[in-house]
Amino acid sequence: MATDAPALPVEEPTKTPTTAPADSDPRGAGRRPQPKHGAWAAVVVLAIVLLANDTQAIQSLLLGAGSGSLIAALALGVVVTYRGSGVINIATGAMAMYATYVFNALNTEGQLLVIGWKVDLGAPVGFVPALIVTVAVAAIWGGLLYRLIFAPLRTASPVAKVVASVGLLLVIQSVIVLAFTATPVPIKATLSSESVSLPADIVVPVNQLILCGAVVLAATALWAIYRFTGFGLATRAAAEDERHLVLLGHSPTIVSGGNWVFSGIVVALFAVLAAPVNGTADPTTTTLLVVPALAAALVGRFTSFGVAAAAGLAIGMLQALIQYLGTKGWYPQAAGSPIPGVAETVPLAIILVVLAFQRKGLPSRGSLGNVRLPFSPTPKHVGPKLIAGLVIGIGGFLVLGPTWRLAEINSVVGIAICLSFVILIGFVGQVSLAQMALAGFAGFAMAKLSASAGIGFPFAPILGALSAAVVGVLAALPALRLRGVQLAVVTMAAAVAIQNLVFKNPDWAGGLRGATVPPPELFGVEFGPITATSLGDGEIPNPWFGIFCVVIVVGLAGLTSLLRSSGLGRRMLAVRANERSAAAAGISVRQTKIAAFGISAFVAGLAGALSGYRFGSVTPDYFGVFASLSFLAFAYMGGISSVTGAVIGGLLVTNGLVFTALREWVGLGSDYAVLVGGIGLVLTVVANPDGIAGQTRIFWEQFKRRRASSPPTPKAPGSAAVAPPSTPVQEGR
Amino acid sequence: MRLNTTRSLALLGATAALAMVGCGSDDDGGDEPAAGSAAKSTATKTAASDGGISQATIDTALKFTGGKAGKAGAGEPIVVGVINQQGAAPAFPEYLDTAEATAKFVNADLGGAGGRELKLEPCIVQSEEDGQKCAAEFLSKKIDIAVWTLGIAGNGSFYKTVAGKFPVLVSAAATGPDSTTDHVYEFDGGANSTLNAFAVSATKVGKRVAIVATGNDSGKFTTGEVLLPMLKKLGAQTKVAYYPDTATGPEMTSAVQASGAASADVVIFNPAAAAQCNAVYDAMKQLGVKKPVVTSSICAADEVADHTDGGPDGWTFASYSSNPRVTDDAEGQAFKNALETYGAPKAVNSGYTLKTFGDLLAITKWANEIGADKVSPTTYESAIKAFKGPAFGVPGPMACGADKDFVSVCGSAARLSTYKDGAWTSAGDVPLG
Repeated sequence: MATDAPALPVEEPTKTPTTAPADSDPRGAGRRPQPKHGAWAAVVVLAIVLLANDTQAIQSLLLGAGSGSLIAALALGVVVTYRGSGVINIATGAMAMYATYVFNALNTEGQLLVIGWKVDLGAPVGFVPALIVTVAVAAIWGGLLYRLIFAPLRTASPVAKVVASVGLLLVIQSVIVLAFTATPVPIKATLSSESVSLPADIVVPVNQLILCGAVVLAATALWAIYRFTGFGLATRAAAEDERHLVLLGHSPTIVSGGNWVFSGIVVALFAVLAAPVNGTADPTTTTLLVVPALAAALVGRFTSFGVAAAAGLAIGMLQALIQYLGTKGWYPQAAGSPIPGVAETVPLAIILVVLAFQRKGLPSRGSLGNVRLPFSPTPKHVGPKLIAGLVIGIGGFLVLGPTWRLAEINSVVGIAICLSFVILIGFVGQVSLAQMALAGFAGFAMAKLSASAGIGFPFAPILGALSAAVVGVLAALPALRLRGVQLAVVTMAAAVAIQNLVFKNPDWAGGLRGATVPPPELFGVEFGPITATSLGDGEIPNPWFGIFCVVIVVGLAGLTSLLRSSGLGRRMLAVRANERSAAAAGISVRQTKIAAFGISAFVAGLAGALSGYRFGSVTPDYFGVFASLSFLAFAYMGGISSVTGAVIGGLLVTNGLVFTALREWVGLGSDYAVLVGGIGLVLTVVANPDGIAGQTRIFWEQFKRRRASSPPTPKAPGSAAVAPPSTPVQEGR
Repeated sequence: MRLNTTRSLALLGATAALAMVGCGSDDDGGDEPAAGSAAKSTATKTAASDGGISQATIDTALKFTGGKAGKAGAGEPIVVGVINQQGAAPAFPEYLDTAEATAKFVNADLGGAGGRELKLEPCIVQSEEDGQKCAAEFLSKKIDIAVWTLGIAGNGSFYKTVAGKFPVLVSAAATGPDSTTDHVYEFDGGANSTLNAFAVSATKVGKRVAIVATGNDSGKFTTGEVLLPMLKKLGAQTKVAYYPDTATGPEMTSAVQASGAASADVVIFNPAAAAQCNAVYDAMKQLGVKKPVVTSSICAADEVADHTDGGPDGWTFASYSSNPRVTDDAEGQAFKNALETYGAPKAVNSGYTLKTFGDLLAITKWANEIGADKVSPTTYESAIKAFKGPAFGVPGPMACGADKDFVSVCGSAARLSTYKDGAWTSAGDVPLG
């Protein structure tokens, strides 16, 4: 690796025409307002004045730095991975969690964790040797994961990489659950149990100070490494544009792999340091910290270690301060307690504030090869396909037994959710992770309309879906400035905020009994899932409810096909392919995006309404951000850019038809379902970016060509004129 | 294949006992704890020491179930549906382990249920869809009665789908529907009783009360709508800090500090998971807070005892049922001996598993009373409604449906225990009214 390569600017990347987003900021960087340093300073001074008289508030802030350190540490890992390979690794928290288990098994039980197997070493290993082994294991894993998963995806679309990291998260978490169960395991190692006393009776635990100091040191060291070493220079060149790196004589693959190794080391180091502070390890807590960590990394524009670390610390400190302020009498209350979700909204608030003040657009990244976008075929034979869907769907409810009818309902609702992803991600290329939050918004709105205003079917679900569409349009506003996985991070933070701020508000959640949804009823005839009927075998679920779901979803599939074939659909694909070119062709990128967000939110809203009818209630956890990730994964496996893909994705969802078949026929236990699903997801993304639908179409085309004995022709007809399968780099990651 | 983290976001929401709710009582909760309601026993003298089931354990169980000692007879087994959440995070496999050990105990030593074998039909939940699936399976298999051990996913959809076609016993209520659904029965005092025990115990120590509570939906509701009014009636000054279910160690430290624990007389800690008990214990130690703590039996789990060298000294534990660590509690010791004998030793000190044990013994008892040939959902439901208690290991009389808001809650008292100077002792029962 050359060490005399010229340093490339990192903070102000030079974008080539093909890599620059068309309208990264419609106003243009030069016309953006300058940072309002005065306003920031005023806010800080005001905060200090207000806090000066409340030592407990100051102590809250200081204690918050402990949890902020954990967020900051993961944010550093995220930045390292992104700078090196352009992957925003949603599994960063899971990797840290895995490292914690590796360390604790060595330190407590004297066992080396090899994937999920424990190899007995005879005796517990001391803190330092265990730390070294853990870091080594993490480094090996970092390199392997890049080589096996993310290197093959180097030219894949950003969403493919997000989905692959979701699969990785699933696999890591299920491996740990299988090896250790989900019960938290105690950490025996200690960092320090002492505290430091400061003036005004302020006490701060030493272990949290150590952690905080380590984060600051690490951020500084990382900055220095990436600023002054040959490895750092090469990484910066790659972050700018991998073509620059090749011109300098380096291999992007090796540089990216090295960064994954480095990221593994950084994350493992902090996982070990944080383990004694947490006191226990479990498969969930650290894994979920990736949400605020991604927000912190986004604030640092996925490039600045210092800003990302500072943002992580700030998130932790602000959340602690909000927790403290919640004990005050003046704090707004709901059902006798502080209103929920304010602390969880901090990451989103920080992102929005920073975006509002940020001069520069978020960086994009050029890659060596063309970014491969999933192929979006022009729908053919739509009518016959819809009729076939109706016949098969309805027929299933008439002939299948209760278990399979339930599975079919789950699949049909899953198809609707996948369709919303197809419209937004497949057609227009906007990676949103708030789709389930929008579905939930419609579900809760429907429940609220039913309970408060007595509005029932069919008006309640339609109004609910329309309200989701309004929220979806609002969610489009950040998309006018962001794209790719950066938009994914913002929508992820927004989904967390909606879930905690809205769904968990007692006024919405419906109190103890939850937000109940009365069964659908038309002309006095009720047809909910548990409504008694003489149709079929007479057992639940009521086949009429299933038929109702099939009719709705087949209708949505038909409308989605029409959308794809319409002028708006073609404009969406043009925006997806290259926003600048689309704008040059007279397409309003802004309007197209807003329309896509609104339509997909409406579809997601109808799915949320169906889900509410399915369960007879809506619950906040069902519509969480990780549910969005889960459905995105299914949609991607099926094929993110076609209606057929959505149908296949729906078949694959949890407790859907494929899942049930595996359980009933193959005996796949629930303990292994997540692991198998995660591995399947990663394999699908790596081996077949077009999803199952795309691969099936390719096979079918080849089969037809062979039968016609015609010479081979390039695959993928259809929409190639608008959005060819391989298009130039058109968006940042 | 639902992302297991989806459920994890909710996880810990399993405030197990404290998470569901209860209000609607006018009592001031000021009653003196009923002295020593836990019956004395000699069970421990023979239990566990020989590695097998003790006669005292069999006698204690038979005293509750009726029937005759010995193995179950021939004939169609009595099938009980058991729903448990496990397989992916959050998971509570110890509850299913408890159920299986209990069935073995009943079949091997208590003569079965109504003379027949007690057979479990397990169904695992991990998501809302699973609740419907389990209900459909049980309905299809004509189950007569079911036990919902512990789960926070699929509760509502399960109950709605079952729609009262067979009764369901809830061992560890963790969601609103567990406590508020018709034909669902919770043979303990519910969250109201446990929170009342918190309030009564804490205000005996002092009137300045710091509260550290889980911030999940149920935790906030129970604390805000039930516990705080109770404490107010008892003249307490309170300060509450909530923490997220997925809180890290530092976040728990912040919560302890924010609650004003340093300047309070006593701390009430309402946890969602045992790991949080360790975090609060460590946080109090690091912040130099040496105040008595009143909490739930979640903090009496093995992992807490391990972390704190035997137990958190000076803490008081309120529970639905007996604490198996208290050696002079006959029913608690019988439970411990049975689980150790039949392959579930790790489930003994794990939340509310004694309730699962007691629920299956109750099903055995009712089968003995009804007669195996007459067992049906209807006869079970009638037996349940006629049952006046006490339930196995649970304080107080039973009156299902007496609370119009929490129709599932049948009991009205909580049981206290303490850990002090290396010893676990009973601290009596606290009746709600």
